[in-house]
Amino acid sequence: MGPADAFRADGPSVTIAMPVRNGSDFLARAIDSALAQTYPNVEIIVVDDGSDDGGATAAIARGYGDRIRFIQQENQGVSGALNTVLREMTGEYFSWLSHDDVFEPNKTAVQIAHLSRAGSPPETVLFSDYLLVDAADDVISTERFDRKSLLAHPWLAFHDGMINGCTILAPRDLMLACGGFSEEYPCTQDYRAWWILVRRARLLHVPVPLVRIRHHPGQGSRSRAALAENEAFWMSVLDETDDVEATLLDGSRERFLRRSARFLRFRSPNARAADEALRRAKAAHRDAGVSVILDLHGRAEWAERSIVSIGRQRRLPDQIVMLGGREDVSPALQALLAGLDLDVVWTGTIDEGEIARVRAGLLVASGSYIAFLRAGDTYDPAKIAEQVEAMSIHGCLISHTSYEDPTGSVVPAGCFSGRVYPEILGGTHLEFSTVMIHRVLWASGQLFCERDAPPRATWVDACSRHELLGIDAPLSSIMSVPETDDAALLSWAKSHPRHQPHGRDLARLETRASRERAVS
Amino acid sequence: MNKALARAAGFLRHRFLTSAQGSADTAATLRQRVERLEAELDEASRLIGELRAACERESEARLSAEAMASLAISDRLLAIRMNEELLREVQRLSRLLDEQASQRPSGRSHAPAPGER
Repeated sequence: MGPADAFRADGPSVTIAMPVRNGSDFLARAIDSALAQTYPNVEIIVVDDGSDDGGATAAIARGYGDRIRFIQQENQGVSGALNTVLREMTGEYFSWLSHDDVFEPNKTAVQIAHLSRAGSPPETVLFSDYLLVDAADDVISTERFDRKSLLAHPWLAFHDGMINGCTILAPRDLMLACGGFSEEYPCTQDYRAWWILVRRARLLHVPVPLVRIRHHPGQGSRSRAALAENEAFWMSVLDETDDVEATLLDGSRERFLRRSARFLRFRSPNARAADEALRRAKAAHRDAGVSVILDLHGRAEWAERSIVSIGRQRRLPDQIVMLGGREDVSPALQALLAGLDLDVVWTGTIDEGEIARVRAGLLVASGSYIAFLRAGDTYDPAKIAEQVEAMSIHGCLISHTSYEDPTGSVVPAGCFSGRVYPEILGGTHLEFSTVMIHRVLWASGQLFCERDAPPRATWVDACSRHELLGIDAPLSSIMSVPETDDAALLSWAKSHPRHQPHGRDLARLETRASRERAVS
Repeated sequence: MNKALARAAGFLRHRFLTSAQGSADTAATLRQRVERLEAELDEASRLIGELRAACERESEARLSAEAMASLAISDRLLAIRMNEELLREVQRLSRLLDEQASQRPSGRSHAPAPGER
């Protein structure tokens, strides 16, 4: 490959970065594999990062003449060498080949083809499976990653350690926008870069082994200092992964921490970080923030009993969001709220219907878990503790419980659980005061989106996309059965084509709606 | 695999089985059989080529669909993260308003939350 001006115009240009320091043992094989790429539009930059081997490394690189670009610099570490390439490269895409690893001849071609198949979207980082080889080039194993898991959870690529730096292909501009490689961390610079990249880029897994990664004695990344840096890095990942990210990955922070512990203990040498993840997992459901949204609408005079039941919780919520204005309740009730020593937020009076009210509440709800309560209804003292714990263990985003009706009888709604769509269209509906959600549902734009829809429609929508966790214990008491809105739900369901295939459930809903009309 | 290709695969299996029988034939009939087998071999090679091309097309289509789905999911996750950041910013600003309102000597007793009139 000639210098940059010899780049051919077919397909995006790719630069292969090859940092090396005292690497005369394997460097030639690595450069040969880069030169053997079947993809034509490739630039190769070898950076000699301050080798002190009497010129052996430099001599090998110089032997390739102008087929590669060769840069020599004072020792700055792998990050420094990679950053030099990022500054110097002319290719649109960056890829990295360690001096002791080997690209398969079709590595670049397959990745560019995969990118092209996906429509060449911007800000996309590709990574692939790889082979592990020994010093003699014999294959030790093939690292193939689970395509189905990665399809549903692309961030697992980072969190389960699937990204090997030499398998990536990333846009140069994106790498630069993310700050390149941190030179403070000589051993974790790559994973620190992926950590930033995965939070802003699209990830695309190429399910083909495209690189041979060499395991041989004396690799720097196995030293004690490297292990300590690694451990500190993964601890910071545990710290910085927020609830929403953890929940999108694994259903709850607790499950994220347990999976991380398995990864850190069994698939990477980070036992201390694994212990820490497990310790945090055990406390995760107790540490999770909880908000209660209390709807005062039309029943503000009954709010006291609801607030008292909140105050008696075995595990108090962190926040109460009052759907209404202070002026709606008595000074005594305000004093009662102040006495609870909780964060209380008022949305003010909103007269646009339940959807608008609840949306306003959700906007200010800060908890990871959000419970709903209608004024006059009450919670069992175990409600918040048990429901949060169950959701955290099962990794469910929406749950409800059995409840006591106005006559004191238990309605065993909690047995309605699992994949309840499309049955939920014509059958059991979720009582507002029994429902708890994870805020991810709200952040995903899946709740209370349609202002004119009947409120129950939002639970139908949520359950059509997620498993419902039903809890058998009656953890709420309902003061009065709210007016049914089967006719409105039927009209809403009929207006949405996605519900049309479920004729049997719509017919059941129609029967209920007819009965409702007859009664009224 | 489409129906035509499934039929082709069936044809190949059938031919293989029927061609393998009759080892006690005369030299003339054996020659005929060899010629027929050669012709069938050509046909079989052609069909195998078609099957291979169909597999490659399907594999290509599957990879494309998977890549597109993967990108869509990545985009959705990024959008949710961004939405969550916006929600947190709304809450931060709402709190600031609340604090400012509570410092004012007169006027509203609390700041308007999002949606409050």
